[in-house]
Amino acid sequence: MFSERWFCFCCPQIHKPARRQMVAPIDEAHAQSDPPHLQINRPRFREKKRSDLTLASVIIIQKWFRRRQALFEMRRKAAWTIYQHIEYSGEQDQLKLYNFFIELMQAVSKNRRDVSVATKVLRRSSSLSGLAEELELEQLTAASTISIEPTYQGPHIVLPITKEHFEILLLAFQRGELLHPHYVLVILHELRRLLKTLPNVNVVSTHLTKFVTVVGDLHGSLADLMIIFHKNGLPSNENPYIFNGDIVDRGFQSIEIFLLISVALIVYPSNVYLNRGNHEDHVLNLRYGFMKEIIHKYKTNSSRLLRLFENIYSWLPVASVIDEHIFVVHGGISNITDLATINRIKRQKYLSVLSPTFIIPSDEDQFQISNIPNDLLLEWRQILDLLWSDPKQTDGCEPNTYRGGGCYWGPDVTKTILEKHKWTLIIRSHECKEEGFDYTHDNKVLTIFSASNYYAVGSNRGAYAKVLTNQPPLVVQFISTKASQKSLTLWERVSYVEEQAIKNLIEKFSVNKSCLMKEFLLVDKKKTGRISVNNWCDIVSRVLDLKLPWRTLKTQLVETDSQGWVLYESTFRFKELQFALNVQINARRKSLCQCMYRNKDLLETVFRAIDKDNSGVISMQEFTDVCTFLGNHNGTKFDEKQITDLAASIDLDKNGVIDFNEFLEAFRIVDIVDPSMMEQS
Amino acid sequence: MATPTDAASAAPEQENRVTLRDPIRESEERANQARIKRLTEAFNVFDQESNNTIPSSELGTVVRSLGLVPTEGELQDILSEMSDDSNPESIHLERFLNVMNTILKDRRYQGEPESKILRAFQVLDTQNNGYLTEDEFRNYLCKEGEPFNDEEFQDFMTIALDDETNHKCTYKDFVQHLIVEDND
Repeated sequence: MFSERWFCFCCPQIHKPARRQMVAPIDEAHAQSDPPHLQINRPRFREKKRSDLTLASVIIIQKWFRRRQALFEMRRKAAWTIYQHIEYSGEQDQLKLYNFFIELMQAVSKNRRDVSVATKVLRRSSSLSGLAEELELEQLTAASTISIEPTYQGPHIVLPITKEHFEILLLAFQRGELLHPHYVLVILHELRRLLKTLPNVNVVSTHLTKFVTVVGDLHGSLADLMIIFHKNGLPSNENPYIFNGDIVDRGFQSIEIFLLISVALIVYPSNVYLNRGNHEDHVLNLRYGFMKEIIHKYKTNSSRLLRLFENIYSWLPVASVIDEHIFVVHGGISNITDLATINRIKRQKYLSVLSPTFIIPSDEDQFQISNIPNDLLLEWRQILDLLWSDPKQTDGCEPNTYRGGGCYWGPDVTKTILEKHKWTLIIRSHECKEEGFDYTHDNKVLTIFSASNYYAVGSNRGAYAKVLTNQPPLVVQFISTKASQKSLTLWERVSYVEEQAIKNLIEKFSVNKSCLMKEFLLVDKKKTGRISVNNWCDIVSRVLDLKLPWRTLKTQLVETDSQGWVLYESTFRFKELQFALNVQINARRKSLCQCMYRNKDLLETVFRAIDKDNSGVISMQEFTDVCTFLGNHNGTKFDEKQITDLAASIDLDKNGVIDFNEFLEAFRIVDIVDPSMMEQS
Repeated sequence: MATPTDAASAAPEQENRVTLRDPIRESEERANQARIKRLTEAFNVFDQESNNTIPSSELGTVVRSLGLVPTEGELQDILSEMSDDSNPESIHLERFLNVMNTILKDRRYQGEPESKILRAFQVLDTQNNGYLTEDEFRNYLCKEGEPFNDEEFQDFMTIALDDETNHKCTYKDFVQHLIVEDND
């Protein structure tokens, strides 16, 4: 399952296993010899019977094995589907929220509080523009604002930045060291200076080097970057690289990777290229981990760093073209993609591609989206599509509602756009693929994904592509494994990945317990404790809003009785949601807690966005506002009185502020060890 | 003992006129519904773009995941029944449901009982050893019938061999692994 498809009976002839319809000749040595008095005078007949029997037996074994393989494949695919659905539904939420903010700004809202929350979140910290903003940024984020204490033992980066610095950092990061924030700023400012001189679309040529390596999503995985450097060599003037976006978020070493790539770019500006990905965007960093990583590693200096990152993202080129015929971009294309138009855009306007600030002018509380000129919106769409689109198998181009931004584009669009620009291939990333890569659209679109073990250990390989002059790309796969991990058999790997996916689902059940039980009881009016499989699948699918193969999964999730009815209470037998602050949780509060936990990510995003100075603390009023606001948005009303009560009981110091980190950490999904023990606490 | 209520089968007790219920028909209908749901769910796992089609190359996996045991040849037959000439590369949900519903109802391709599978191994075990070696397997499974390709054979041997050291497969135990059931 981690290499070429084991079964493809509809593949082109070269892959087709030879199928013998005739009886194969039987080796004389295998023929059983009967005692002489039983020998029938028809040896040929006996032979034929025997070989018929052999053939039949072989076929029995072959078909039963293939069936077993298929069952396994189904389970693996189901696990994969779980991960993808959870990933995308998370992204969808995020995007829905921001779309909602924008709509809110459009509408004449009667609810002052809602508007004020939205404004607070979306308003840029700076209300200046142009030169003034530039100066303000320099002032705020200059390296000189951070002094280096004498106790600092790590690397010192003094300009000019050289190859030696790259190697020093490589070693330091592998040892787990942290670069001093002063030097981080030094590097980032150098990077920014360089990026400002680059065009929107990098022009890459293999004329001198004969090849260039394209690396896909890394998502903070230093281990994978190390493997790539190990297999493919460090970047240099003889070994050029294109990094195709999504360097940051999700993984825990995003800043280390970003710094390494930055230094490589600074040292070899004509041979290292960076494309912007959809995660090179502070709006996503809020939620997907980069912001947390920076705050955790750099504490009081995090605001400065984050502010500079936000600006640097906007200066990243949006795409690259190799040898004038290979288009390299993070997401993809759409029916309107046009290189000339893209080149004319002032890319630095788009601090966040998802939530462009030209829509929210800093001095107005309400703004009409209909006032924005059409060509400006189209321009925004060009960039959005480049960074957010996914290919689909059928023709046409439609909005990517799965992700909430960009398009799904079909093979016909690929053909048109390739012809228009005289391109032969599109190399993109953005989607996790089990093999680390995937060809589609008649081999005209290549997806390269470089973060192995993305969903769980063993879930997928990573890959990179070596593009040689005038040749099809060479794809190299890899997977990062801890030294301590023994090499697992195929079956063990699949089981492990599946196990993690199932754990995920079980957690979701416990978090939605009140709602699910309500639905179960609606169907089971007589309180027998059992409902039909059909009903269980329907309810679970609806409440969790996850379209998954529930029937296939149900054996691992819930108990059934001897007649095949589902004992629905067993849905919650493994995990329970606990709220670990010293607050009494009565039955009503339980439901509120579950609701909050489900929206934990969204709550966190909004808290962080409001908390402009990254202190980790917001006022009780803001806390209540955000919860109520999200409750309205999600359609599950948070009872305002309950929230205020909860907030008051959390504010233990009674000083009017709430440490939201503490609040969010307090939610925990724990294993149910022993029901009787639970009552005690 | 209270029987659980299935929402789909609530009796229309409020009706005024007398309607004769046909319990056999109703239970057939319920069984039909359950079959359709099962088929659709299996289909959907491979319907990547949620447009009610799957690639033809996945048909084998889908059919087998439902617990059926067709041969490659039989799969080809099933495929030709449901494929669309104008678009041979993919199969549409509707045609899939039509063909598969009948197959499930008629209980075709159910496979043979465990004893017959054991017998199949015994036929190949011409020396009556109680085990088969890797080489013997290779000769049969990769050269005859509907041969395995290299990868299939590798995977097969991984589970077939008693352990890594001897290259033998005591097939009596192995049969258990082959017929693994998904309780459905």
